[in-house]
Amino acid sequence: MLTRQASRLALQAGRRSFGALPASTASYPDYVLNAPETSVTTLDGGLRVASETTIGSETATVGVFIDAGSRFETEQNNGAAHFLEHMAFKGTTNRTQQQLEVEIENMGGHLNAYTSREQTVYFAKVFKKDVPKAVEILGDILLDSKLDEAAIDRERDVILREMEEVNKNQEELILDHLHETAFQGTGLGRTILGPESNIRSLTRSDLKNYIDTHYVAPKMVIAGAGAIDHGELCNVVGDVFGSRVKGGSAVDFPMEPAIFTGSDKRVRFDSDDKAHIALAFEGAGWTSEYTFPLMVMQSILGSWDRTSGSGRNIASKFGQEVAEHELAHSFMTFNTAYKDTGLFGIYAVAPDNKLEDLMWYMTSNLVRIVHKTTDEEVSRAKTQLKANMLMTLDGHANVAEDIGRQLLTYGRRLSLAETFARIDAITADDVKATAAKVVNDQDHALAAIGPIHGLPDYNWIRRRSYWLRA
Amino acid sequence: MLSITRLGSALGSRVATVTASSFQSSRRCFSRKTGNELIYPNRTSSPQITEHSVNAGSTRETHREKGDMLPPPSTSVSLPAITLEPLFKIDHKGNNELTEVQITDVDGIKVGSLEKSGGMSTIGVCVGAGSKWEGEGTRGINQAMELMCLKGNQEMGSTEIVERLDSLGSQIFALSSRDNYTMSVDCLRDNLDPAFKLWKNCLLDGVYSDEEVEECKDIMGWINTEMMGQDRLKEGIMGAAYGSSPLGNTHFVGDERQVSQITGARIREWREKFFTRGNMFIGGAGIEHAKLVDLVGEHFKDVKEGGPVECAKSEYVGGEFRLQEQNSIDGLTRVAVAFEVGGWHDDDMVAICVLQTLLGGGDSFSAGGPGKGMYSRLYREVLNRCYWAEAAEAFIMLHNDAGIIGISGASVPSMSQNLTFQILEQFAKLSYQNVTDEELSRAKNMLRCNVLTQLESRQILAEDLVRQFQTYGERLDPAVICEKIDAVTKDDLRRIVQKGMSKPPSISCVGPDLDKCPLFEQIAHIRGKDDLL
Repeated sequence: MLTRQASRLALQAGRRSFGALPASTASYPDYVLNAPETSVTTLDGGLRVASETTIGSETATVGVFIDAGSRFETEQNNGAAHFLEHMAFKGTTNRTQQQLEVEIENMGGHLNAYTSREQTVYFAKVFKKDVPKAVEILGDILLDSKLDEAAIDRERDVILREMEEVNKNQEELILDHLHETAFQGTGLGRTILGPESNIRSLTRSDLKNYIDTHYVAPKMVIAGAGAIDHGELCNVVGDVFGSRVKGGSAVDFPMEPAIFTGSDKRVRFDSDDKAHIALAFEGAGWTSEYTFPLMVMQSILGSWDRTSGSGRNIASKFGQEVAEHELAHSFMTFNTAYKDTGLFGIYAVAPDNKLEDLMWYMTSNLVRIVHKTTDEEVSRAKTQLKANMLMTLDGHANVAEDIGRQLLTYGRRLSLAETFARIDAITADDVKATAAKVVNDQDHALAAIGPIHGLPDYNWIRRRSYWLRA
Repeated sequence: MLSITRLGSALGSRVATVTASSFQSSRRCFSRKTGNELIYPNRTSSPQITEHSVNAGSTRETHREKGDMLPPPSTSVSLPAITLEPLFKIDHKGNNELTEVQITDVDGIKVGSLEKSGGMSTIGVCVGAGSKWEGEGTRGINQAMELMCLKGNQEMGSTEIVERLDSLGSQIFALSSRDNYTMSVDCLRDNLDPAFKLWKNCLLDGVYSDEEVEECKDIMGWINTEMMGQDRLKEGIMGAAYGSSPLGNTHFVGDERQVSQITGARIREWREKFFTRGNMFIGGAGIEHAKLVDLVGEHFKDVKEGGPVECAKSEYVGGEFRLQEQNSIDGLTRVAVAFEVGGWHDDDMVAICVLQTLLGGGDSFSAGGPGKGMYSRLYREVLNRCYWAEAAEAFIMLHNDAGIIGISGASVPSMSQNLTFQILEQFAKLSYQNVTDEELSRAKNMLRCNVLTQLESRQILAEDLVRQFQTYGERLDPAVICEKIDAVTKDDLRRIVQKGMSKPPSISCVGPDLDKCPLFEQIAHIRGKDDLL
């Protein structure tokens, strides 16, 4: 009772202190307040162009960020987004595959793409003088892709081969299993490459439909960083994309909500030498009030690898315990956000003989945050988080990716000052409240591969998601 | 120059990757068919798969009474959700700009820096100490120093150092190589003073207790056991190329007898000898020059006088390294063939880098779109034509004294002879025929773009700065480097290969069934030379 009252007061106090924030921004260092602005322009039809300029740079990255991914597919066309990514580089009505490749390589540029569950990104890294050309090429491959039937057939085997390669990577595979089980029956549970049957059966019209449905102005952001002139970029984008992309408002494209199901999936191979285990709870969406506290939680739990040389000397309590008792070869805390949900958890690679101990310490450290988070821990985690954020904004490609992602997920780019203000405002109580919502007595999702005979069952782990006494 | 080294990385870059706050997964796949090798490659047995789902809430009722549980704190946080309205308005005054490099001599230590807008600073040092100076009794010391870069000193223990670093939002990276040792610190600008002091303590004041050294030896053992075939190949080829010269030392030491000779005392002795004022260069990116000079002046006062340490010059000899590994993970045999070229100080250094870019190559299965080198020679002529070639990639391993350029490849054991011949043919072709204008221009553009793109990063700027200074005594502006790249001609490339091929090759093979790999004598015979081992 007392805690609830106290936290309600804190809630009010928190809200009040937030409102008073502008005056206290004066206390931020110059580099926070003077961080360059992201210029954003919305063209007619809803297409957004955003960029951050670095004076004196000779190179730039420009990318197209599309609000589409495997989540928005159906059972029938699961794999279309990724298939399209392959086909994008196979030629357009204006350029054959070879012409496209040679043109980019001769420029000394890089063209690449990736598809994730909620976003599809095509980007190019080029010299300053080639930025308009890069935008033109991006427009060409996205909107004028040839989608030649014969090429589509040839690509099926390539994608199946890619599937094989990707599955050799245990980390990727286990996160797929985790999504499949945690979000079973919904879009997020689907894999990005799609099932083999779809890879063999997707047709040209499936792919064309996908483009027509999802590659539309309100769902696209063109982001650039480096040697970019915003006005020029807007003009080029307007010329290349402007009228060729269907307009509309964002509400025309409803999204199937995500449903998290407590569950687990175990794939046992006794002959493997290492077990891979991913334990996750339902996290929070991008714009949730829990988003930043979850990042702080992730920092508190940390990551560790036995070959890193730091041994027992890692600030995270879980890390120390794993190192001391030799419970795992490595572990990593992940925090994945989607529009309306997320996954927060720990992925560990461990030998087969200490899995029960590993899970004991893992769950214990997760629940400990609900009750015993200290101010000192939170303060350290906040500084780490700020430092990590600044560290990853190193290089134009990373900045462009940050701009694109933020515009798609937050709808705007948070200024550095606001990001720091939000991080600074987090207290130990906020972290405890977040852990209480996410971890405390909550169903979890688990995926495990390898020699997992010693891994405790679902109920064992579920029982340890709360404490009966501190 | 580090920025060019990264294209033909010898030992791989180990600048630590920062944990991203959100985990993006992309290009995944999974099929519901069980027992399918497509899903679980490289396994002979079928998996036992169990799946279990609970209905949310149902477990709550069964395992305990309500009210027993420790009452949690409230589940509401004091933060607002992120909406389209910014929390507050601020005036953006910032512009991103890069300044010139400034150099100052601080009592014998050269200090250089450039300013870059942004919230972080990176400061690094490059010391003229590396595994080529190692000998009997000191083998593995550099690797050990790198692994123990965060260990305790007189003032504070390792745990405290790590905690302090975390609370300052800083990271320290160390990287040792044959020629030099670099260590850098990345920190928020506000925390420069304490972070710098901590970094200096880690660099110069480590105590290296017996317990820490034992732990380190364990880690060195693990690294040695888990080393990938490709890395063993590269280690081997250095030995083959330089024989018993200093550069022929392996960098990673796993041999128990050698590792057992590492002690804290020896490490401290080594540091006394090498980490002296005249033998190190300190640099920074994203930091005000005067500030850096002050920090160095204040904290590096007690560093002793001293200069570069002599090392016997390494002479290229050529030779063979064979490591039979019957249980390699992917069952592939790896082969590398290399020839002598100049090192970092050679006039042709830039031309060598252009040549490597022109040859290019990679894995037969590789991710990445246009720009990764798919029109490079090794892709077009080896990977695209030979279905059995799993990988073919050009590499350069340049050091202060000397350098090698080579092509490495991978294939199933039965095709390793064909693979070796393909590699030799590529070299031969370069020596008797000029490359085309298109290939050369493409390679130059790719190299320039790669160099400039890498230099966008503050961390790389700092590292490149200190390495260039340690190697050359100056730092070349990227514009100058681009000019040098443009000045490379077709004749330069041909001349370099011809000269290299006049001496015996260096061969390295790692993997299962090496009896299928051609012997040094057979290769010499094909070359029509009298190469002797």
